[in-house]
Amino acid sequence: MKGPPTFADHGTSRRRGTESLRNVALKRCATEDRFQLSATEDGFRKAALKRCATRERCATQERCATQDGFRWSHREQIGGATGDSFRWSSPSGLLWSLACVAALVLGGTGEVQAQQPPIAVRGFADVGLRTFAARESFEAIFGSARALLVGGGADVIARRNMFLGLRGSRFKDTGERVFLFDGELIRLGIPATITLLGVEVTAGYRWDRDWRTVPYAGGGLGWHIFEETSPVALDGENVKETFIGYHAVGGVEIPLWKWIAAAGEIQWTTVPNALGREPNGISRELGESNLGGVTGRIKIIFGR
Amino acid sequence: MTLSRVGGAITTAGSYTNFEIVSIDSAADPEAVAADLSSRSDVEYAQARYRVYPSFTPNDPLYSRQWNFPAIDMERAWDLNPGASSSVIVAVLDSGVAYRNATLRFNAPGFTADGQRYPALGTVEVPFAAAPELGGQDRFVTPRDFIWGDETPLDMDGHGTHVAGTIGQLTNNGVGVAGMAFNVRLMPVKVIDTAWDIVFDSPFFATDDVVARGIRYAADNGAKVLNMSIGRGGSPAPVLRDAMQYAVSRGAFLVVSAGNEFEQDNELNRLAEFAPDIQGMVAVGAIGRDRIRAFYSNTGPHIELVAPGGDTRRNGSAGGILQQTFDEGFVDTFSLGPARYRAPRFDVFAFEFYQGTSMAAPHVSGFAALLIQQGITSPAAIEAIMKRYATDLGAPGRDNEYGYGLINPRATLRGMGLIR
Repeated sequence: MKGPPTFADHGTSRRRGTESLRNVALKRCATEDRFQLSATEDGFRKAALKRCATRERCATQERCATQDGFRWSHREQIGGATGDSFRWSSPSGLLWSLACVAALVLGGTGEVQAQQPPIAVRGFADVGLRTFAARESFEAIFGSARALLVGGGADVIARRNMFLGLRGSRFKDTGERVFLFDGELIRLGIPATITLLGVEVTAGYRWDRDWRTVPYAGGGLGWHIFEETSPVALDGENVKETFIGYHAVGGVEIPLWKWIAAAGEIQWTTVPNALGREPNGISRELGESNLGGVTGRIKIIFGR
Repeated sequence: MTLSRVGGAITTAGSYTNFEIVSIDSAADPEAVAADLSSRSDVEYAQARYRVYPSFTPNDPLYSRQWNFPAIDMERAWDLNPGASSSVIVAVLDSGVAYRNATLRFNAPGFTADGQRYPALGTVEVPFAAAPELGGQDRFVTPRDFIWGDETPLDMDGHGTHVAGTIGQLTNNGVGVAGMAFNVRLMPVKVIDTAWDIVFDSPFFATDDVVARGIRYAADNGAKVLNMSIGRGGSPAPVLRDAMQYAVSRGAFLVVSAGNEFEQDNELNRLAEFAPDIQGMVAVGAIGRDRIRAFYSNTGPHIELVAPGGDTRRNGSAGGILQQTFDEGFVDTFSLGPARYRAPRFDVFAFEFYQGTSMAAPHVSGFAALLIQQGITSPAAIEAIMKRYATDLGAPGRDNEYGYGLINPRATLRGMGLIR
């Protein structure tokens, strides 16, 4: 099993031949030197030095340039970084060490990743364009059924392929209250501000092969906090309610650079029976009840 | 009771405070907690933290006697739309309006009324003045008199001036009373002759054709709302129906009083009977201060809405609708008997309580002006939204006493949100 290429050029290194692979190995070794200089723990310094020595050997010996040798050297790095001999003398030492470990893992191939801790955590930020299922209702209030949502969250990836994500998103816009008569929509000039906060839990599967891209798909449920306010509203005229919704999502993740990847995904969300329940709602007038929609989204992922 | 028992915690009160704010559990009763805290020796005072809302209450000193506006929640409606704007023209098809100063010369021959002979007054000079609370000359557009055949539709009764006041009396100016749509412009169109018009021998009378001309005139000259606190019994009036349909087709919303003849066999007001058939025209009945149909207010299938018209029988003289108009003592001199009969003066004003569906209709006309200002310009849409948001009174649903119910300007102006 091989993990996703973390360097942009990593996935193709084997095809580039010995010379390019050597360059990659040397580059990593230089990175670790920096870690070594910053570390305060003797044990760690030794381990790092040992790693560097290993790398140099790889870089200078033709046989090390083979795929097997390269993998082997990484296995050694991982073993050193997680060994019992490590004692963390200061928080900064811990952080640097974690960073070092992460950097080493980022540089790994599938074999290395197969040996990474069984759970990895990544953060992400995203921006999406949602087309609301209650298309006519949103068009009535805002003039458009599409809206930008911004969000962010974290994924936990277990054993490379399973993921569990927690995502928050927010939409806020101000339109106008309306009246509908005989098919004609009349805007009344009274502000109507809609805020939609979503908290979604998604579980899914990542097809993490040796490809440059990682397709994934999942589904889950969410809590959608809906607020409708107006500056002239009285008690009972504003709305703040939470609805349960469900969603399915699919996308493709593309590594960009080291710790950063991008993803494009499409999510279908259904929040049934959220709208259309009250006689003074345009959603009821238009017979629309679902607060969900289809969202196209771009994510920037931090972590591996 | 301690703070901890009610989940209380002192929070930041912000600047400009000499107090502290205590947050408590949502399940705790704020009033009870406040009372308990107040009883503590180390607490100067404690009160529940109530939310405060904007609310436009006119500062006109007699506003407190205008029960009719709070009855339809106008204060909170004015928060949404403070009195429409001068771009909206409301025509008052009535006995004229006290809209300008003038002194006119008339000949007053003798006459007999109620078996009494009133002497001839000869040639008299009659003073007219603009009602101070209706505003200046720029408030009025294209006045027209179809009773005297000229362009000075001066009120010789007070009815039209009172009606115009309910529509557009100057408001929040620290004087007198308030009106519904106090920023609109008014179009006085005189189509009704009253006692002094008859005494002074006006060339025309309030016949169907005169009223029909007035309706068409108003529609052709830019009026978006036509208030007709007028009516008649008798046989149908197709000429009026035709004129009303024409006015609606020109984009004017028509408001007609339902009639005050409930105790006179509930005789149908022929001007109001078209209302159910014309989308963009409503017939308006009257309620009293107690939100019960006024004793005089006609009933029938043509009633579509009700508004405050006053009911002095149940609610006393203050149960009428208060507006500025002529001081009756200077106008109705014939009511004093032949010995004290004299020429009228139309330049002395007072605040008078009137009652009638004539007083109910201008509430709806002013309301329509607010809706037009809000962007609802189609007469049919105005009628539809008024009916939709009316507060149902009487039997559930539409009925012959209250129609679709009491107008509800705030809810109507607020319209629809996404959910609520």
